[in-house]
Amino acid sequence: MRAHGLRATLGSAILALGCMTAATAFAAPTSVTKNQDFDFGRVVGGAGRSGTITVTPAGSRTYSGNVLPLGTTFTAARFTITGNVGKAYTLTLPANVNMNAGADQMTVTAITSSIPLTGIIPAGGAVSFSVGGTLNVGAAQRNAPYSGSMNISVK
Amino acid sequence: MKTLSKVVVMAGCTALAWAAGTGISQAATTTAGTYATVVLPVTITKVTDLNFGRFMSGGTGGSVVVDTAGAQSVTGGVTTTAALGGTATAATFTISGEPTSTYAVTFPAQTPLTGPGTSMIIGTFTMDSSGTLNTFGAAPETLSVGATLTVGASQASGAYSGTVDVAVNYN
Repeated sequence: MRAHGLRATLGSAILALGCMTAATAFAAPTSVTKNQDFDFGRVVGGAGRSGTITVTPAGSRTYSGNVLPLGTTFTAARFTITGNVGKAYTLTLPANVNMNAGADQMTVTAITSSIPLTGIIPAGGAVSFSVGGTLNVGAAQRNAPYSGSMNISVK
Repeated sequence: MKTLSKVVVMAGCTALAWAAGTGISQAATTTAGTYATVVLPVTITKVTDLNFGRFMSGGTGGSVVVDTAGAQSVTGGVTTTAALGGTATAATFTISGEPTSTYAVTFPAQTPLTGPGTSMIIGTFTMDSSGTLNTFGAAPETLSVGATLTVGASQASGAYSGTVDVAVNYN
């Protein structure tokens, strides 16, 4: 009887240790926050002019076709992932983002990140990155300010 | 007593492990606003050609100036009289673009007018707008352009002509 009781106590101690490890992971899940919105700036387009404007994750702006970027105000989106050091994360970017101005729409495609989509949270517990994409402007695009939402997820 | 205690601990662990598993599989998300502004292309259409009118060259060179209102004036050895007629006109263009956006007008540095004699050079372009110069308004505006023609001494008489490319671009 005495020996049997001792084994039971030992089993309980090991199980309790396992519980504590699991509870730590639950207390600090990986999270992602936005630091900067995504802005293509002003673009001459529509009225027969179509083409693309690309803002790279590094923050430069290029164009193709008959559109023309104007001014110097534009920026890639910026985010920060935070979590436990050494934990693996997977970043998910949208395939495209729609922007609207009333009934008129433009689509952002080729959305890319400055970091690989999978990685390990480094020392310090945070990873900052930028996201760029390509804006597709149609030949009949109405002149207006367009806006949309880009959802980023991390797990 | 001991056996009962073991059962309770295991139940607690199972609950915690389930909660932790849920936390790992759930994705954290955030949203960035995405913005772009599409602006109208600039349009420019010629309405009136630039005409320096008629004048007489002299023994020394001079110049003929047409201002943005189309008024002709002469300097140096160049003379003109009412008998030659008021044929001078400023160039006019209809331009439009994104309201409130600023624009710049560019002219060629020097443009030759060719004719029977030595080519004459156009330069020193001036401009005025029916709206606010260098800023587009809600409606198309008229851009008036004047210039100075340099006339040589004893310039051969005849009609001279050339082409001036005027460009309007957003700043």
